[in-house]
Amino acid sequence: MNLFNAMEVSSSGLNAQRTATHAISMNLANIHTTRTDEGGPYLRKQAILSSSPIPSRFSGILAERMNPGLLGVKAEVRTDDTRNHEMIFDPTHPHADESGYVTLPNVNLLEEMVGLLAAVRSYEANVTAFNSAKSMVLKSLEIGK
Amino acid sequence: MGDLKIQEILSPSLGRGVGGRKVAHDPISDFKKILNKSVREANDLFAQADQATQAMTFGQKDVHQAMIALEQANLAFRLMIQVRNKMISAYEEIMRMQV
Repeated sequence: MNLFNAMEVSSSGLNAQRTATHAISMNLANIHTTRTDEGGPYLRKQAILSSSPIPSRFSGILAERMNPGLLGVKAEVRTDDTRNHEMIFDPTHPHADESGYVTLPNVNLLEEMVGLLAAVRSYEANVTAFNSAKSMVLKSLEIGK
Repeated sequence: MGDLKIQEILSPSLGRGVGGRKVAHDPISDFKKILNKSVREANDLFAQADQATQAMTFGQKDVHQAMIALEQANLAFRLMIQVRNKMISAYEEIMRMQV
């Protein structure tokens, strides 16, 4: 339904920001994780956003075909941050290497907190956009009253 | 605005088809169709909202997805109510007509 296009777009924005917060929570929870299933320390996760046609529902696909250029956003969690890991000297640590160094995850607390703030604000902005679309629809129902 | 011609205004309600042929036009089934359509749309969205709420409680969907589905159902319902109001008022207007 044409009425709901703006809402579907906002919905995709909310989903994307939710995924971003998931990635940040994972990074924060694993800020001291020195061993993962793959071996080695935890690798920082990042939500990469890219614009995409509104997914998942038939109405979304139809809306995209009816007015091309109507794009939502989708988020993808990736671990391609290649910055250097900090290493500390702690020979008593079970995960220390032969020379006694422990490799810490490449997660920076301050950076994650700022990213979290940005994601939450963006989420709020999407909620505001959704509510505006809703109040526009409600106003249009008052036409001719 | 161009010239208004009474005949042109009247002809759609008489149901003149292409080439001046008369097409059977059933006002009752039209009335029913419009009302049915809007009720069905609202109902579909309610079913979707119900599904989304259920999926949310099972942890398959986020809260915002359920809320959005609920809001869409709410709006569709309001639209349906407005369609009904308009149709009822049109009906009442016709019933008031002096014969």
